[in-house]
Amino acid sequence: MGDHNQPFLPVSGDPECVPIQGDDVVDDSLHRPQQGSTKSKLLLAVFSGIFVVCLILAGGYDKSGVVKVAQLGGVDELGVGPIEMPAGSTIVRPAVSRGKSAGVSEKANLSPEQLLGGGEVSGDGLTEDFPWNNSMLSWQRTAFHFQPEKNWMNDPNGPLFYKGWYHFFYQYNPNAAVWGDIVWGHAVSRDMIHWLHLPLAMVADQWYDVQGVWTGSATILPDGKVMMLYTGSTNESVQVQNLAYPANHDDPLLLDWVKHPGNPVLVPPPGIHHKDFRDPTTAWKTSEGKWRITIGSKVNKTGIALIYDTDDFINFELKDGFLHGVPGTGMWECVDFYPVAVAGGNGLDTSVNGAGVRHVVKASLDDDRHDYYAIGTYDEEAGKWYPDNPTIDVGIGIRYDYGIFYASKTFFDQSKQRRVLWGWIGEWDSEAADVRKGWASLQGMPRTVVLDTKTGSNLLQWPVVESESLRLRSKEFKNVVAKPGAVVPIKLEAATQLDIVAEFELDKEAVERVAESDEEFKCSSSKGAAHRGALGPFGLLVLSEETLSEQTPVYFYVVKGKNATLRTYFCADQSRSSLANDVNKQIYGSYVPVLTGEKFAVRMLVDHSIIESFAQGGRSVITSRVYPTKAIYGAARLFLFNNGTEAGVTASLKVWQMNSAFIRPFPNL
Amino acid sequence: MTTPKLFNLTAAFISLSLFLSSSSADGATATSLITGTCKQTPDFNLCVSTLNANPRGPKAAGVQTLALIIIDAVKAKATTAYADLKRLLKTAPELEGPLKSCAEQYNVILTAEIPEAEEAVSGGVAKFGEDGMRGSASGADLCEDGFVKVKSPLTAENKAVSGLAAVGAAVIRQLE
Repeated sequence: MGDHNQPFLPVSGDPECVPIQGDDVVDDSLHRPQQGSTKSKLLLAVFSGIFVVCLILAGGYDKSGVVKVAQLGGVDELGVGPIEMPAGSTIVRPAVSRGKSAGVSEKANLSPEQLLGGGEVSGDGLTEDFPWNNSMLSWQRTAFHFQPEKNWMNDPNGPLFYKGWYHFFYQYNPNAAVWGDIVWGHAVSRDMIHWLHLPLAMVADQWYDVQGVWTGSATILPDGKVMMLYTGSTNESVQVQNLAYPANHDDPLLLDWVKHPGNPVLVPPPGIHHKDFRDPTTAWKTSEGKWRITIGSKVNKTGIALIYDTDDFINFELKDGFLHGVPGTGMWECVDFYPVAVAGGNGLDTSVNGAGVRHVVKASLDDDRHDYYAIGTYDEEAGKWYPDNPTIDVGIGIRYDYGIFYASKTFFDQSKQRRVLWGWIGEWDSEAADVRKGWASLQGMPRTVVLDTKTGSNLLQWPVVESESLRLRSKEFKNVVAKPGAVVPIKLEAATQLDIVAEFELDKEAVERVAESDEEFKCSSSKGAAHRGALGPFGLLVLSEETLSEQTPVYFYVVKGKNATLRTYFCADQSRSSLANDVNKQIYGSYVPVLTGEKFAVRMLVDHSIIESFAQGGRSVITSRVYPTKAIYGAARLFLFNNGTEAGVTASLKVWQMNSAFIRPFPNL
Repeated sequence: MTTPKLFNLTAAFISLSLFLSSSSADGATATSLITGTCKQTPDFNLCVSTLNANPRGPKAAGVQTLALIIIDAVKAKATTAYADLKRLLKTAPELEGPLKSCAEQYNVILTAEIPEAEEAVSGGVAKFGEDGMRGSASGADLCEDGFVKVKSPLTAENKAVSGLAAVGAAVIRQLE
């Protein structure tokens, strides 16, 4: 097998790097106040007048057509070319999948074989809206993922380990299951799994955060004290940065918080719009002994990370230039900046620098609702960071997750010397369903983050080891063979709370035999699990129903290209995940490096309406939100499948039933 | 013989011009901000006419104001739709099933999605505003689709909400 050792280099077909280019075509003047252009207005008036007269004389006057500026795609009267819809309109994003248009599946021309055993197909989206019932909706709540008891949650905030407790704060709406009225929720845990809800940490009670207590980060000082910097939306909707700290540093639960009387400590600097200034990071030490933070923003369409230095978290100095910026990426939200060890292994405190260290810059792109990171070099003196590979710079290269995962934030867990990543997992159903079920959003299973020492050019993410404490009984399935076209049931007592570790091998002889292909594959433009190639797709059908009327394939697709090199893709296919017509039905994923000697490997956490899939030890991760109507409770099934045409697949898997984390309010508070 | 014809033609020309200039006022006197913004929405005319109909529209200095105007207009249309469907619940009991579905959708639109959009756009986190508008459009569509075997009595209202909310989402998109 001619395996490859390529880092995450995007080729022209790389699926998830597409969105941004289109932004270049957008009329940038819309982002600035309209400058007077009297000349063009005059020209316009003259032209219109002549145009009108001509039309009348020609007798072909159509009232609605006069001085009609171009519809989308047309040519406007000033002779400018077609106006392109911003690329954002075609991007996979959490919100866009609502409504019937996303529910239409192309089934007309697939053979029964391709349908993997057939079964009912979901509606064409034109029938009446799906009648969700309480049984289906209440099944969606997870057993071991963090979520408040009700209502809306979004960004993770200020995670830290303090006096024996992991603390987690989060953007929360106490009043509704949609975003709004944002305050800071709070929970603690001994192990990042068994969470106990605490009272709200901060509410919108000051003029400088009355429109929203938004995202922020914690810094633990050498003396153990905690500084929390967060964004407030003021009474005039200006984004400012505020300082808060525990009312009582002896309280391990950090129940009460004090807002610094001199807030805000930072207001938007000149040249930065008052709505493009949010999400301060954890601070790190400079060689001068100051604390340094970064805050994301944008200038026109260039996403940037501003740098500030401070001694006291109260008085800040804006450094010249930016830590980094990437044209065309738009607003950078929830910027994160942290070191990773070249040798892998443990995580590093945010202040660590020097030899043997690379630095990661991460941004959440407002434009496409994805989290991107890049690895590079931090020039401490200059206050600048440079990517190792500018072609996969921040926002145009690698994503933490190829499914639904946003506003993520890491922290250094000093108790176990690891860097841990939190990410907001939104909903992929309708807002109406969220209101009906009374809640929206989850947090991902926290993940450790390290540099992939084998490729050197990407990170590895893996569920925190404490996730294994949820494992109950396991079943092993060794060397299960799935011939081309096969669907093999994996018999389990239940299939909605699972931890699956699986390895796959393609039949070697078949891999040698098949012809080279010049297929340019992209998960998102493929037919999902029905897209048959010689060497794939193969993987697992999760949250599936007995007759496969509902199924969520998570799988590998292998292309044998020039010189017999294999390229592997890792995808999730939601096109048939539910009979409902108001949920996400997209297919998504990415290229994943599979190195010589490696089998195709995946670990999956299945927890009701969330599936988290980690390929090749966490080299590529996909989080999915799935809303089956039949494949729920005892009717959910797991299958192994191989829909390739040439090669058999041998799979070995171990599947654990997962316990509930019993997330509940802190007792006797 | 020619004089009356000429007279008629002139009169026609004059009244046509007057008619034209009043109807073309929407296009010709729409600010470049409005036309530029509305070009990037699925319904240019609806966008322009809605913005021009609001006195704040032509005076708007930025896209944020335009977005808030559209959201307001969606709220008005959704309020009308909701009032109509409540009336129909009394007068057309045979349509109770789909009408109750519609009531649920419009309840979400009015109590959750429009407030979400207003707060998000005012605050500068436009993407949640986009969610609110897309959700409102979907809700109206789902209400309409609920009338499977009978003709929907709310088509005009649903299309108004859906079309305008789609325009709203596209305007808000430009804030991101």
